[in-house]
Amino acid sequence: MSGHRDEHLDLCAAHVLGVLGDAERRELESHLAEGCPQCEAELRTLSGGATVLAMSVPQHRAPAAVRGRVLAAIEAEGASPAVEPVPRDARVMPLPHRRSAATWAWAAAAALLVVAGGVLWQRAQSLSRQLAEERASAEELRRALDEERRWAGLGAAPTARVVRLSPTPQGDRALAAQVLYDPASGRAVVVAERFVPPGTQAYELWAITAAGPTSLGLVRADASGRAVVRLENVSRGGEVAAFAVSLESAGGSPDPHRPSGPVVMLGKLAG
Amino acid sequence: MGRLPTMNESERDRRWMGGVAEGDSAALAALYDHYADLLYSLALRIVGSASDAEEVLQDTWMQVWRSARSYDAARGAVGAWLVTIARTRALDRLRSLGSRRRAETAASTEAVAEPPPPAPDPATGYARRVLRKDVASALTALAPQQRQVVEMAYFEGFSQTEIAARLNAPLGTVKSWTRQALAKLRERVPLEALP
Repeated sequence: MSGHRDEHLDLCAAHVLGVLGDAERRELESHLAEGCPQCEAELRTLSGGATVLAMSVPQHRAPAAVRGRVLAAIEAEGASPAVEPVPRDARVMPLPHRRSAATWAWAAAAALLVVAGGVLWQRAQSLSRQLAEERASAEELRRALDEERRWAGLGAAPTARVVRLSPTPQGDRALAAQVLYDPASGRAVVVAERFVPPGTQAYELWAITAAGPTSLGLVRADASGRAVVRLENVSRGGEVAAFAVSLESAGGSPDPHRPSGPVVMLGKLAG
Repeated sequence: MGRLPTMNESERDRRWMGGVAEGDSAALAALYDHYADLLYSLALRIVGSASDAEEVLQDTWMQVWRSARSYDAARGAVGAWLVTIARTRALDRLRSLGSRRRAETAASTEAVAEPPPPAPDPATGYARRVLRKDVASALTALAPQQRQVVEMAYFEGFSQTEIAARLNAPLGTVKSWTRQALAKLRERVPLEALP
């Protein structure tokens, strides 16, 4: 806790590799909070080393299908949860009208056959591509639906709990939020009301475990102050004892394990 | 391998991240096109199977989409942030698979995975070759134990205590090998070449 020791440099190395134990992490964090230019410089240097490791792996091309799935999933997530009932692969694809070869002069028939063969081949290729794209779209939609069902099932999970958050004395009395949390799957859905932060500030959600708080990210509300946030891996820091909301400057707390602004809401898990 | 980001590319990455934070899916697509190969390769190295790596890649981008607002440019480059997310998701996946053997057989994945991506243009191709050479020579410059400890921690998620036990080495020694290895790697690859 007091001045810099060489052991802190070892902790910096474990930190950039993400292998610090809880006690060590707390020690390094409290040391850094006191301000240590040597450790800050060490962290910058060693982070570069970790990135070199990431780049040292044999290079492969990402499977092409993932891109479409990701883009479909974020479109589904960004839009209304209601899913269009007619799947995209059920759309009727109008086929282009084909001109009858009989209308052409016999004299041109031989040449035409060659050209038509090429055209038909190209059309077949184009239709195959369209079919492949439609199939990929259907697959994307199926995954999006599966994802929706997975989340819809959260409320029915036997281990799911509802945690109501109450405003603290530092918080606006109008704030309302509850968390549907399933410790078994580590998933949670947060529903927040009247989350309109003053000025450029932002509300940040925290999971509190025996090891301390872990940021679950900023709560982005719509113009009416309502937000519905889905979270995964909520219990990665250990068993969650409570959820909290802090009021932070824009961008959130610089420390993912400590709110920098006042805690404005708190809700403990019963029992 | 990703690319060779210049200052302009770093700025461009930050602009894309800003777009993602605002819910712009085109910005996410642009970031994806730039980093997906690197993140997939890293995930494949960690989880050891193409299908698991594919899931990790998808989860990674979903997390990028959901938590883009938590990215803080003051704390590091966009590429480093993406790499951290992909590695964390891959290690989570590895743990959920309940076996670390998969990572130990990661070398065999080259046979089942798609080949390395071609460079989009000669200049990028050259830059990639230079970077790959720098990275490879940085790794070969490490003492075998130094390389082993950082690879066990980074790719397999072993704690330093676990590494010490596995290698039958004193914990303090493992700690100093780790730090020396990371510092050497960083020294041998120019900072501006890293994502």
